[in-house]
Amino acid sequence: MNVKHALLSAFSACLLGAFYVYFYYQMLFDFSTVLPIWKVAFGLISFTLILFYVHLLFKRVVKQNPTFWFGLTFSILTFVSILYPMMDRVYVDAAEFYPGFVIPLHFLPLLMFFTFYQLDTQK
Amino acid sequence: MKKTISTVGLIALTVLSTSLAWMPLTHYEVSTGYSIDFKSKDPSGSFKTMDGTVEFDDANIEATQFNLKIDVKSISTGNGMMNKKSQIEEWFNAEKFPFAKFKSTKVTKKGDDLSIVGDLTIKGITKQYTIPATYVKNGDKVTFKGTFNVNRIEFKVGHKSDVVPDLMKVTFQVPVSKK
Repeated sequence: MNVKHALLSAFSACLLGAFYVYFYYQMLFDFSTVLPIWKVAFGLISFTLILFYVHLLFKRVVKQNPTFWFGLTFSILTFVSILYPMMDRVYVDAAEFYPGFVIPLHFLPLLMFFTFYQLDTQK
Repeated sequence: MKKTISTVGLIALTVLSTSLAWMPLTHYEVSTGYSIDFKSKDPSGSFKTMDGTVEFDDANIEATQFNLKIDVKSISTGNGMMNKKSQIEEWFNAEKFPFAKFKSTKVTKKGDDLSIVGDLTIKGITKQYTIPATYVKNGDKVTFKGTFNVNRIEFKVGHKSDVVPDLMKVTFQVPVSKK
Protein backbone atom coordinates (compact mmCIF):
# COMPACT_ATOMS: atom_id res chain seq x y z
CA MET A 1 0.00 0.00 0.00
CA ASN A 2 1.43 3.35 -1.06
CA VAL A 3 0.04 6.12 1.10
CA LYS A 4 1.85 8.76 -0.97
CA HIS A 5 -0.07 7.64 -4.07
CA ALA A 6 -3.39 7.76 -2.22
CA LEU A 7 -2.81 11.20 -0.71
CA LEU A 8 -1.39 12.81 -3.86
CA SER A 9 -4.27 11.47 -5.98
CA ALA A 10 -6.93 12.53 -3.46
CA PHE A 11 -5.60 16.02 -2.79
CA SER A 12 -4.84 16.79 -6.42
CA ALA A 13 -8.40 15.71 -7.38
CA CYS A 14 -9.70 17.90 -4.55
CA LEU A 15 -7.62 20.93 -5.61
CA LEU A 16 -8.39 20.62 -9.31
CA GLY A 17 -12.08 20.12 -8.56
CA ALA A 18 -12.22 23.08 -6.19
CA PHE A 19 -10.46 25.36 -8.74
CA TYR A 20 -12.77 24.21 -11.51
CA VAL A 21 -15.90 24.78 -9.42
CA TYR A 22 -14.66 28.14 -8.08
CA PHE A 23 -13.94 29.52 -11.55
CA TYR A 24 -17.14 28.07 -12.98
CA TYR A 25 -19.15 29.82 -10.26
CA GLN A 26 -17.29 33.08 -10.82
CA MET A 27 -17.39 33.09 -14.59
CA LEU A 28 -20.45 31.16 -15.73
CA PHE A 29 -23.09 30.35 -13.16
CA ASP A 30 -23.18 29.98 -9.41
CA PHE A 31 -24.66 26.63 -8.40
CA SER A 32 -23.32 26.93 -4.84
CA THR A 33 -26.79 26.70 -3.30
CA VAL A 34 -27.14 23.13 -4.56
CA LEU A 35 -23.45 22.16 -4.68
CA PRO A 36 -21.13 24.13 -2.37
CA ILE A 37 -17.38 24.01 -3.11
CA TRP A 38 -16.55 22.31 0.21
CA LYS A 39 -18.85 19.43 -0.65
CA VAL A 40 -17.12 18.96 -4.00
CA ALA A 41 -13.70 19.04 -2.30
CA PHE A 42 -14.54 16.43 0.35
CA GLY A 43 -16.46 14.32 -2.17
CA LEU A 44 -13.42 14.13 -4.45
CA ILE A 45 -11.09 13.20 -1.58
CA SER A 46 -13.54 10.55 -0.47
CA PHE A 47 -14.08 9.00 -3.92
CA THR A 48 -10.38 8.99 -4.79
CA LEU A 49 -9.48 7.25 -1.51
CA ILE A 50 -12.28 4.72 -2.04
CA LEU A 51 -10.80 4.01 -5.50
CA PHE A 52 -7.48 3.39 -3.79
CA TYR A 53 -8.99 0.77 -1.41
CA VAL A 54 -10.92 -0.91 -4.22
CA HIS A 55 -7.70 -1.12 -6.24
CA LEU A 56 -6.04 -2.87 -3.29
CA LEU A 57 -8.95 -5.29 -3.23
CA PHE A 58 -8.61 -5.95 -6.97
CA LYS A 59 -4.91 -6.68 -6.49
CA ARG A 60 -5.76 -9.29 -3.89
CA VAL A 61 -8.74 -10.90 -5.58
CA VAL A 62 -8.05 -10.69 -9.31
CA LYS A 63 -5.16 -12.94 -10.31
CA GLN A 64 -4.35 -11.58 -13.78
CA ASN A 65 -4.05 -7.91 -14.75
CA PRO A 66 -5.87 -6.55 -11.66
CA THR A 67 -5.12 -2.90 -12.54
CA PHE A 68 -6.52 -3.37 -16.04
CA TRP A 69 -9.78 -4.85 -14.69
CA PHE A 70 -9.95 -2.14 -12.02
CA GLY A 71 -9.49 0.61 -14.64
CA LEU A 72 -12.06 -0.95 -16.95
CA THR A 73 -14.63 -1.40 -14.17
CA PHE A 74 -14.31 2.17 -12.92
CA SER A 75 -14.23 3.67 -16.41
CA ILE A 76 -17.60 2.02 -17.03
CA LEU A 77 -18.93 3.02 -13.59
CA THR A 78 -17.79 6.63 -14.15
CA PHE A 79 -19.67 6.79 -17.44
CA VAL A 80 -22.75 5.25 -15.82
CA SER A 81 -22.53 7.76 -12.94
CA ILE A 82 -23.00 10.71 -15.30
CA LEU A 83 -26.60 9.58 -15.74
CA TYR A 84 -27.35 10.75 -12.21
CA PRO A 85 -26.77 14.51 -12.76
CA MET A 86 -28.48 14.19 -16.14
CA MET A 87 -31.64 12.93 -14.45
CA ASP A 88 -31.40 15.05 -11.30
CA ARG A 89 -33.66 18.09 -11.48
CA VAL A 90 -32.23 21.14 -9.73
CA TYR A 91 -34.39 24.13 -9.03
CA VAL A 92 -32.06 26.98 -9.86
CA ASP A 93 -31.69 29.43 -12.71
CA ALA A 94 -29.79 27.94 -15.64
CA ALA A 95 -30.60 24.43 -14.36
CA GLU A 96 -30.15 23.15 -17.93
CA PHE A 97 -26.39 23.80 -17.58
CA TYR A 98 -26.06 21.86 -14.32
CA PRO A 99 -25.33 18.39 -15.83
CA GLY A 100 -22.67 19.90 -18.15
CA PHE A 101 -21.04 21.59 -15.18
CA VAL A 102 -20.99 18.59 -12.87
CA ILE A 103 -20.05 15.79 -15.32
CA PRO A 104 -16.29 16.65 -15.62
CA LEU A 105 -16.01 16.25 -11.83
CA HIS A 106 -17.00 12.58 -12.12
CA PHE A 107 -13.85 11.83 -14.12
CA LEU A 108 -11.38 13.52 -11.75
CA PRO A 109 -10.89 10.72 -9.15
CA LEU A 110 -9.98 8.07 -11.77
CA LEU A 111 -7.88 10.56 -13.76
CA MET A 112 -5.84 11.55 -10.71
CA PHE A 113 -5.56 7.94 -9.53
CA PHE A 114 -3.88 6.93 -12.79
CA THR A 115 -1.87 10.17 -13.06
CA PHE A 116 -0.01 9.22 -9.88
CA TYR A 117 -0.23 5.45 -10.41
CA GLN A 118 3.52 5.22 -11.05
CA LEU A 119 4.03 5.93 -7.33
CA ASP A 120 2.01 2.81 -6.48
CA THR A 121 4.51 0.56 -8.23
CA GLN A 122 7.48 2.08 -6.37
CA LYS A 123 8.88 0.16 -3.43
CA MET B 1 4.56 1.13 13.36
CA LYS B 2 4.91 3.97 10.84
CA LYS B 3 2.91 1.93 8.32
CA THR B 4 0.11 1.34 10.84
CA ILE B 5 -0.11 5.05 11.66
CA SER B 6 -0.33 6.04 8.00
CA THR B 7 -2.94 3.35 7.29
CA VAL B 8 -5.08 4.47 10.23
CA GLY B 9 -4.64 8.12 9.18
CA LEU B 10 -5.73 7.31 5.64
CA ILE B 11 -8.81 5.43 6.85
CA ALA B 12 -9.68 8.33 9.19
CA LEU B 13 -9.36 10.78 6.28
CA THR B 14 -11.62 8.59 4.16
CA VAL B 15 -14.29 8.38 6.87
CA LEU B 16 -14.12 12.14 7.55
CA SER B 17 -14.26 13.22 3.92
CA THR B 18 -17.04 10.74 3.10
CA SER B 19 -19.20 11.88 6.00
CA LEU B 20 -18.67 15.56 5.10
CA ALA B 21 -19.37 14.93 1.42
CA TRP B 22 -22.66 13.19 2.22
CA MET B 23 -23.69 15.55 5.00
CA PRO B 24 -27.20 16.75 4.12
CA LEU B 25 -27.53 20.37 3.09
CA THR B 26 -30.15 22.61 4.61
CA HIS B 27 -31.59 22.76 1.15
CA TYR B 28 -35.30 23.13 0.52
CA GLU B 29 -37.26 23.43 -2.67
CA VAL B 30 -40.64 24.99 -3.32
CA SER B 31 -43.30 22.30 -3.09
CA THR B 32 -46.94 22.16 -4.11
CA GLY B 33 -49.59 24.20 -2.33
CA TYR B 34 -47.99 27.62 -2.79
CA SER B 35 -49.98 30.74 -3.54
CA ILE B 36 -48.93 34.18 -4.74
CA ASP B 37 -51.94 36.47 -4.70
CA PHE B 38 -52.12 40.17 -5.50
CA LYS B 39 -54.92 42.50 -4.60
CA SER B 40 -55.87 46.06 -5.47
CA LYS B 41 -59.06 47.96 -6.17
CA ASP B 42 -58.75 46.49 -9.67
CA PRO B 43 -57.27 44.09 -10.76
CA SER B 44 -56.74 41.23 -8.30
CA GLY B 45 -55.57 37.72 -8.95
CA SER B 46 -52.71 35.31 -8.51
CA PHE B 47 -49.70 33.74 -10.14
CA LYS B 48 -50.12 30.02 -10.56
CA THR B 49 -46.55 28.88 -11.25
CA MET B 50 -43.39 29.41 -9.27
CA ASP B 51 -40.31 27.48 -8.21
CA GLY B 52 -37.06 28.05 -6.42
CA THR B 53 -34.85 27.10 -3.54
CA VAL B 54 -34.53 28.06 0.10
CA GLU B 55 -31.48 27.41 2.27
CA PHE B 56 -32.94 27.10 5.72
CA ASP B 57 -31.47 26.02 9.02
CA ASP B 58 -33.71 26.20 12.06
CA ALA B 59 -30.71 26.78 14.29
CA ASN B 60 -29.39 29.62 12.15
CA ILE B 61 -32.40 31.43 10.72
CA GLU B 62 -30.38 34.49 9.76
CA ALA B 63 -28.42 32.41 7.24
CA THR B 64 -31.64 31.66 5.36
CA GLN B 65 -31.46 32.36 1.65
CA PHE B 66 -34.38 32.61 -0.75
CA ASN B 67 -34.02 32.24 -4.47
CA LEU B 68 -37.46 32.22 -6.07
CA LYS B 69 -38.94 32.85 -9.47
CA ILE B 70 -42.50 33.33 -10.59
CA ASP B 71 -43.72 32.66 -14.10
CA VAL B 72 -45.50 35.89 -15.10
CA LYS B 73 -47.34 34.03 -17.87
CA SER B 74 -49.17 32.09 -15.15
CA ILE B 75 -51.09 35.19 -14.05
CA SER B 76 -54.77 34.63 -13.37
CA THR B 77 -57.02 37.63 -12.86
CA GLY B 78 -60.28 35.82 -13.49
CA ASN B 79 -60.52 37.63 -16.82
CA GLY B 80 -58.94 35.98 -19.85
CA MET B 81 -58.61 39.23 -21.79
CA MET B 82 -56.89 40.90 -18.85
CA ASN B 83 -54.50 37.93 -18.43
CA LYS B 84 -53.54 38.23 -22.08
CA LYS B 85 -53.14 42.00 -21.91
CA SER B 86 -50.84 41.71 -18.86
CA GLN B 87 -48.28 39.89 -21.04
CA ILE B 88 -47.78 42.72 -23.53
CA GLU B 89 -44.74 45.02 -23.58
CA GLU B 90 -46.52 47.81 -21.68
CA TRP B 91 -47.22 45.52 -18.72
CA PHE B 92 -45.01 42.50 -17.91
CA ASN B 93 -43.44 42.10 -21.36
CA ALA B 94 -43.53 38.35 -20.71
CA GLU B 95 -41.83 37.48 -23.98
CA LYS B 96 -38.65 39.29 -22.89
CA PHE B 97 -38.99 38.92 -19.11
CA PRO B 98 -40.81 35.65 -18.43
CA PHE B 99 -40.00 35.56 -14.71
CA ALA B 100 -40.31 37.81 -11.69
CA LYS B 101 -37.47 36.90 -9.33
CA PHE B 102 -36.64 37.35 -5.69
CA LYS B 103 -33.22 36.71 -4.18
CA SER B 104 -32.76 37.44 -0.50
CA THR B 105 -29.66 39.22 0.78
CA LYS B 106 -30.38 39.38 4.51
CA VAL B 107 -32.83 37.68 6.85
CA THR B 108 -33.40 38.80 10.41
CA LYS B 109 -35.60 37.27 13.05
CA LYS B 110 -37.52 39.05 15.77
CA GLY B 111 -39.62 36.75 17.89
CA ASP B 112 -41.51 34.56 15.45
CA ASP B 113 -41.35 37.12 12.66
CA LEU B 114 -38.85 37.29 9.86
CA SER B 115 -37.73 40.32 7.97
CA ILE B 116 -36.47 39.28 4.55
CA VAL B 117 -34.42 41.85 2.67
CA GLY B 118 -33.72 41.02 -0.94
CA ASP B 119 -33.66 41.96 -4.59
CA LEU B 120 -36.99 41.83 -6.35
CA THR B 121 -36.65 41.77 -10.13
CA ILE B 122 -39.65 42.40 -12.33
CA LYS B 123 -39.42 43.22 -16.01
CA GLY B 124 -35.63 43.30 -15.75
CA ILE B 125 -35.69 46.03 -13.09
CA THR B 126 -34.25 45.17 -9.67
CA LYS B 127 -35.27 46.95 -6.47
CA GLN B 128 -34.48 46.16 -2.88
CA TYR B 129 -37.53 45.13 -0.87
CA THR B 130 -38.00 44.21 2.76
CA ILE B 131 -40.65 41.56 3.14
CA PRO B 132 -42.14 40.67 6.53
CA ALA B 133 -42.91 36.98 6.91
CA THR B 134 -43.69 34.23 9.37
CA TYR B 135 -42.78 30.59 9.09
CA VAL B 136 -44.07 27.29 10.40
CA LYS B 137 -41.84 24.22 10.42
CA ASN B 138 -43.47 20.83 10.28
CA GLY B 139 -41.01 17.95 9.91
CA ASP B 140 -39.20 18.31 6.59
CA LYS B 141 -41.59 21.00 5.41
CA VAL B 142 -41.42 24.74 6.17
CA THR B 143 -44.13 27.18 5.13
CA PHE B 144 -43.39 30.89 4.78
CA LYS B 145 -46.27 33.36 4.76
CA GLY B 146 -46.44 37.11 4.45
CA THR B 147 -47.89 40.22 2.89
CA PHE B 148 -46.17 43.21 1.34
CA ASN B 149 -46.86 45.98 -1.16
CA VAL B 150 -45.27 46.25 -4.58
CA ASN B 151 -45.25 49.51 -6.44
CA ARG B 152 -45.78 48.46 -10.06
CA ILE B 153 -44.61 51.86 -11.35
CA GLU B 154 -41.11 51.23 -9.92
CA PHE B 155 -40.89 48.22 -12.24
CA LYS B 156 -42.49 49.94 -15.23
CA VAL B 157 -45.39 47.49 -15.17
CA GLY B 158 -48.00 49.62 -16.93
CA HIS B 159 -48.24 53.37 -16.63
CA LYS B 160 -49.70 55.58 -13.94
CA SER B 161 -53.43 55.37 -14.19
CA ASP B 162 -56.61 56.37 -12.42
CA VAL B 163 -58.03 52.92 -13.00
CA VAL B 164 -55.17 50.65 -11.85
CA PRO B 165 -53.58 51.63 -8.53
CA ASP B 166 -49.79 51.86 -8.24
CA LEU B 167 -49.62 49.65 -5.18
CA MET B 168 -50.45 45.96 -5.33
CA LYS B 169 -50.85 44.09 -2.08
CA VAL B 170 -49.07 40.76 -2.47
CA THR B 171 -49.90 37.88 -0.15
CA PHE B 172 -47.80 34.75 -0.37
CA GLN B 173 -47.72 31.31 1.11
CA VAL B 174 -44.68 29.30 0.09
CA PRO B 175 -44.26 25.76 1.38
CA VAL B 176 -40.79 24.30 0.85
CA SER B 177 -39.64 20.70 1.34
CA LYS B 178 -36.23 19.36 2.19
CA LYS B 179 -34.49 17.80 -0.77
